[in-house]
This record gives sequence, structure tokens and C-alpha cells, in this order.
Amino acid sequence: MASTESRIVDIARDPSFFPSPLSRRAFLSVAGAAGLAVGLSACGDDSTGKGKGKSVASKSWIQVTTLSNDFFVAFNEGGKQAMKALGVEVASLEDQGNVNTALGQIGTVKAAGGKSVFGTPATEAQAAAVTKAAQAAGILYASSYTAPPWYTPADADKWVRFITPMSTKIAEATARALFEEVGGSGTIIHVPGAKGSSADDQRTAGLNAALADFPDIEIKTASPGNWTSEDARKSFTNILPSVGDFVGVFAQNDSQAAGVIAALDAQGIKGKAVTGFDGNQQNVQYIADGKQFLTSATIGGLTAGLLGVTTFDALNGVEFSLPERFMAQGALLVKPDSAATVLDTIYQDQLPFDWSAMSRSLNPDSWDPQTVLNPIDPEEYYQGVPQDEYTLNKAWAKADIAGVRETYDAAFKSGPLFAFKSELVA
Amino acid sequence: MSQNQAQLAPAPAAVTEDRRLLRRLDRHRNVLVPTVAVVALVVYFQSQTSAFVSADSAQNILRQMAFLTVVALAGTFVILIGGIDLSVAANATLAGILIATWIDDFGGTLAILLVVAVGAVVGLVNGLITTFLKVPSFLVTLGMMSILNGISNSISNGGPVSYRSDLLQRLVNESTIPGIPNGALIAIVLTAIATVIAFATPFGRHLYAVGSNERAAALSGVRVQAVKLAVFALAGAVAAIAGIIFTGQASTGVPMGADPSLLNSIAAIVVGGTALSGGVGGPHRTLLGALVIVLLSSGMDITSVDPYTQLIVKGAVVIAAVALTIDRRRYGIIK
Repeated sequence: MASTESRIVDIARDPSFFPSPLSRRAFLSVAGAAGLAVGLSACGDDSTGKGKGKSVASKSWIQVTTLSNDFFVAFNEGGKQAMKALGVEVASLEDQGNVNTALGQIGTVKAAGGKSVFGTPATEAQAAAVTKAAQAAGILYASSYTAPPWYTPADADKWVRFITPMSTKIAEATARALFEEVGGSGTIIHVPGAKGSSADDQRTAGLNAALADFPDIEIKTASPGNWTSEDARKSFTNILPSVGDFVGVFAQNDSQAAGVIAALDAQGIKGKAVTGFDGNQQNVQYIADGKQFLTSATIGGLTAGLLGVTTFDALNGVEFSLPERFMAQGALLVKPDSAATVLDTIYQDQLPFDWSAMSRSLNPDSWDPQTVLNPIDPEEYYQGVPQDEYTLNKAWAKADIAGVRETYDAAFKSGPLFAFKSELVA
Repeated sequence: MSQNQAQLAPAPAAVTEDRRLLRRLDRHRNVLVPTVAVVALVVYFQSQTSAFVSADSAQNILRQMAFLTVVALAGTFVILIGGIDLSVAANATLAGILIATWIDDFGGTLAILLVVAVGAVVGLVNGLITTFLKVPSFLVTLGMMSILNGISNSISNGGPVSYRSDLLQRLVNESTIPGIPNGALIAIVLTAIATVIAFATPFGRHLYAVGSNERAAALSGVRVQAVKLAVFALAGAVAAIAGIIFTGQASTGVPMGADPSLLNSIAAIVVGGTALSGGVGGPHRTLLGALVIVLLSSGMDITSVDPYTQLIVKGAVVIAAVALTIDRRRYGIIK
């Protein structure tokens, strides 16, 4: 029986259908061209609704590593929601952690007449490269999580804001809660993130700081989980035979915690306290379900919204002081007693924040960050990190860090996190 | 019915002329298809946004094309002899880290020469293992990719490597010819040199002979092992140049920086019409392939195509391009 492909080719070659029958090769070439055309036509399927002739003057761009990961998806969605609330057109850029792609995208934003980008670079090296590219292109840039040590917004005036959770402090608080949960003794398996990442170093430093007060806790460190569920699952599984009994797991982010939980489930191991980091929705649900003990939620979508609002304000003439441009965002430690409430009040499809209220340009006298934002003292933040790559900019000598801290503390007076204000770690 | 057919059917002379034209086009389709694709992409994206055909956009595309073209050129040579070098991007990463580490201490010229030499040695090691230990290039270069990434991360301690010299800025980002970033100029010149080597030198002919039929080439007096070693070393040196361009563009040494471009570089090679089976294609086609890949990415970004849709389109275009350019006469069976 003839195959479908053969019948299609036969029809194409049938002189009763076509006056100049095509050769098989010519037909396949035409079919290939059709594939190209289909591919191109899909380009017109623009889900963000941009079209010919629309102004791009106020448009903003969100740059994320991937949209196949809970955190980045949440970051992207939060950024979109915030910009939509401000009436700003926004588009997403996925750089796949490829610095070459990320740099090209900055060039694309410039070519499109864009004036601002906000995002979360994958590595310190990418952060340095993209920040410098945005500076060279004259595009406002706001970023989160990763920055090269001792390189701050004082070094690039287009880098309008950097927001990060204080990994060391949050990790220390997480570790203390974990150690107390397991009764202050026993073996904890530590699954680090990726070697060379400052966030990883800071989280390990926080763990070690807490450990100093718990002499009966023993730490066994697994191979790096590289921030992914799969690598963490493997490294955790590999270390198990050499550990014997253990009471808990300190995973350096939530994806890794998910990998650890999968490994525990696969081996039928129950009753172990697992902690993560980042507050991915899946992990908050795990906590509500009793599979995970704790995560720290900084809420990536809120971070993105804060960054997007910052670029909006900067484009509308707000001048941020140096301490305002280098800030720590409060993290909420989510435990079994609060997980359900947090899921109900914060993890909605539409994030329950008043984005417009955050804007300094829209509310010069009554703006509200909707969360704890504390200015970071770089001397404290980069303590112990050598200054061989970058040195701290002298502008910091005149920075009024304490004054900005007071201003932002007073400004935070509403929103779904206000009820947790005293618990937010920053 | 037969009368209708007779009315519809063109005169025999016209059919012959049509077929002759089709045959002529078919003979050049490996170059025609990517060229048509480039024109189609430019026309399409320009119809979506007027910003696409602009000086800023052109410079951005040329900048992106520079690195991708050179790293893909490195891979092209090895593919032409019927092998594959999966370590070109990792070699470029190492070169990028080394140039950032050495440029302030050794001075620009010496640092660049050393980095290119290291790249060539890495390629030569790939070639020696492939040629004398008879290990498939796929496996050798896969292992080498891991080794090079380990070395790059050890040197950089996993973090960015900054430098003070402005040489790379001048060499890569500034424009000697107005409107054309020097990095793109380097890529175009390298492609021209590689094309001349491929088509106008005995080495080039030997390269194609080895790629088409290694045994027949050996029986014809081609020193197959020497050709392979030279090709791998050349690929390593060119990959190192790609790494220097990369670091110049990033303004910092980036661990694992060039690695994610490996698949794009292979896509550029095949979209350009160089057959993965070896012996067919050439460096000039890689330039076209890289241009298609970069135009597509840049165009979809500038027209704000949803990132998920971008993945679908990129895949569809690569498949379509290969379907159009593949020379089926060289294959008995397609698996």
C-alpha cells in the first residue's frame, strides 16, 4: 500500500493536477520552502500583541534565563503584570543563559528604540557583561539576584537598581529554623548550588554561621546540585550510602529541594526536614502538604515588578539616590503553619500587589514598596570577598544608607506582605 | 478530458526550458536557499517593524554574527572532513578566559598569539587522539569539551575575569570601516581566507577528498592523517579567535560563556548547506547560515515574538533549511 507521502508526491507529479509536473526533488524543495513559510508565519503569532506602527518609545523588556523554570516564569509574569498596571507595553526576552544572546538582545532593544530592560542575569559574568552593554547602549537597566562582587550601580549610571534577597542572612535564618526543628542534633545533608556562584557562597556562609551555635549538628555536603532538580536528585542520591542516618536536608534552592524530595519519595524515606530557598509555588505547596519544612519566599514576580516600576520611574524623571539603587528585598520564611495562608493570599495568578502604589513618579508623597526594601551596605554585603576584580566606588563614602533605610521602612504600610512585616528577613 | 489536458499542457520546448532552469537552480540551491532565506527574513521582519532595517539593528546583527560565524567556521573545517568538533565552543570559552587573564600582564599582541596557540594545541590534541588512537571525533571532542570547561572554571574560579586593557574594545567593538564593527570584519575576512583555502589550494582539495571518501583519498596519495591533524589544529586556532571576539564583546572573561552557542554554531553550519556527512559545503555557506540564525533570533526579539513561539520557529526553520539544502543523491538511505 502506498504511503501518504508517496501519494502526495504522486499527486504533485500528476499532469491532470499541474500543467508542469514537479520532479520529486523539486516537490520536496517546495515542501521545504513551505515549512520555512510556516515558520515565518508563526512569527506573526505575537502573543504580546505588538504590531506594526505601534510606538516602542515607552516599551520595556524583561530579560530572563529561561521560561521553563518556576522562578523565571514567576519573575516574567510579575514584571508583565506590573508594567501592564502602569500602562507600559512589555516584551519578554529569553537568553538561555547565553551571554552572547543576552548581549545581542540588549542591541535589539536599542535597535527597537527601547529605553529600558529589567531582568535577572544567570551569572555574575553575565551580569557584568549585560550591565556594561546596557550602559554603552544608553539603556536603563535594573537587575536582581546576581551582581559581580564590589561592582555596584555607582559604577554605571544606567544601572538604575539592583535588588536581591540577602542570601547570607536568609540562609542563616533558614538553617537555625531547620536545626531547631530537628532538635538541635543529628546529621544534616547539605546540597550546595553551583560552584562559582556568589549566591551559593552566601547561602553556604549563612549555613555555617548558624552552625556555630549548634555544636551537635553535623553537616555532610553533597556534590553541587547546580540549582536544578535533576542534578540535586542525583547528588543527594549519590551521597546517601555514605551518610547513614540523617535528620534533615539543607538544599540551597527550591528546585534542588524538589529534587531531594523526589529522591526521598523514590526511596520511601519519610520524616526528614527539607529546606529550600526562593519560595517557588510548588515548594510552598510541598510545605502545605507536609513534604518540605521551609522555604524563604522573596517572590520573584514582586522583585520583577519592583524593578519594572523603577525603570518606569527613572524614565519619568525620578532620581534615585545611590543606596536606593542597591537594595535587599525582604524574604518571608514560609513554614507549615503559614504555607496555606501564603498560598491563598500571595500565590495568585494575578499577584495581589498594588503596582501603581509602588511608583514614586505616580505617588511622589505616598509611594509604598509593598515589601521590606533595605539599602545594602556593600562593605557588609561583600565582606571577605577580595576586591581584585572591582573595587568599591568612592561614591559610597557619602551614601546615606541609614536615612534611606528609615525612609523605606516608613513607606511600607500596605499590601499582602504587610501582615508579615516584622518577619521579613532582609 | 484529454482535450482539456492538451489545452493545459505547455509546449514541449517550454517544458524543456523550464526543466533546464530548474536543474540550473537546483545545482546552486545550497547557496540559493540560505540567500533567499536571508532576503525573506529581512523583508518579513521589516514589514513587521520599521526598526528592523536600521543602522542600530544592522550593527547589532553584525555583532552577533561575528562570534557565531567564527566559532561555526571552526566547526565547519572538521565537518568537511567527515568529523565533528563538539569542543569548539568550550575552546572559545577557554580562549576568552585566557585572553582576559593574560592581556594586562603580557600585552595584547603576545596574549593573543599565546591564546591562539593554546587553541591550536587543543585542536591538535583532538586530532592526534582521533587520528592515531582511532577514537571517533564525536567522543574525543565531547570529552575535550568537559576538560576545557573544567580548566576554564578552575582558572576563573567560576566568576567573571575583568581586565583593564582597551585593546579588545578597539579590536572587536570599534569600527575601522564605518558601520561595520571590527569583530564582524574579522569574521568576514576569516571566512574569505577560509573559502580561498577550501577552494583554491591543494590542502582544500585534499580536505574535500578526505571528507568525501577517506579510503579513496588515501589511495590517491592524499596524506589523510596529516590533513586531519591540520584541520583539527586549524579549528582550534579559529575557535580561539572566536573566544577573543566573545570576550571583547562581553567586556569580561565569562566562564562557560561561549558554550551555549555550540548548538547554534552547528545549526549555522547545516543551515548554510554544509553536510554533516562531510565533503560537501564550505566556509562561505557557514557565513550565510550564521546570518540566517542571527537574523531569525534578532528579528523575533525585535518583533516581540513570544519566547515559546521562538523555539518552535527556530526548530522549523532549521528543519526546513536542511530539507531544502540536503543533497539526497549522496545518501542511499536517510535514517
